[in-house]
Amino acid sequence: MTAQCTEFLHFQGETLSLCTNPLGDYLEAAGSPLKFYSTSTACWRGYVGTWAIEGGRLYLVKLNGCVRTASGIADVNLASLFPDYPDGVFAHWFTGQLRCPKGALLKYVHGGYSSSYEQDLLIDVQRGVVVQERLVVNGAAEPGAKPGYAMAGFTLFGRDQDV
Amino acid sequence: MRHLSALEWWGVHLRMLTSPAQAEQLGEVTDPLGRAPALPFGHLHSGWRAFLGKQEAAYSLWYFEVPDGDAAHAQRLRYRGFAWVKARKVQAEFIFEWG
Repeated sequence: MTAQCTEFLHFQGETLSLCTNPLGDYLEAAGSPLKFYSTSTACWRGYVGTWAIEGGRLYLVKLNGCVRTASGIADVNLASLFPDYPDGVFAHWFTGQLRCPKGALLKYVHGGYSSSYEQDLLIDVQRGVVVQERLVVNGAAEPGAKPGYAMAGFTLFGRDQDV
Repeated sequence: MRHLSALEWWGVHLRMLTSPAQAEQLGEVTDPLGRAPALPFGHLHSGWRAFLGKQEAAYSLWYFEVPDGDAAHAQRLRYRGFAWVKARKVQAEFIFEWG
């Protein structure tokens, strides 16, 4: 187990860590020709997406990832996956809850997105449209604790290494 | 396309016999910023077309909903989609929404 790097969410003027992967099911269902390649144990999904909520809707606005090709490992971006929508993609396939941890770390768990933080911003989304948001207070960290998403050790893979 | 492992169990979630035209109404996607195709099921349209192409004789189209398997979140959606059914067995499925 390794704590996973987050996605990012632009929301109300802030860039937040996002502990939800709205693209995952899309990739599986859409039969994407891109097969993402993990370059680190901290990012088994092989990509990091940047999302934005604009006008009450969830959009994928940036993607950085790696894929395996016949000639090796290549970098890919949003245009690689959605060539007709290089500036943003409406995530109409996603219904569920976005979780954005805020504040300082309360309890570290070295796996997935399992660590807990002082607050969680929870945003409920239905077919890509925001229906509700709320801030849940989980506790208070020690005085002086540094805010932000935390990850302990992980392993980087070479680009020519089978994983 | 995701294939669920227990199709017999999954059959209990079939909700409504429908038609491709009705399904496409449900799958209408519009976006004021034009960031999705104005086609049934938007970015999933090619998957929908592929699913329609799997229709064979005596297939019927059903709408399904699968709630979250976690009892604590029983009201939450897990999947919504459509299935081709023949002789009470699911032959193919198309999922257009995930929880």
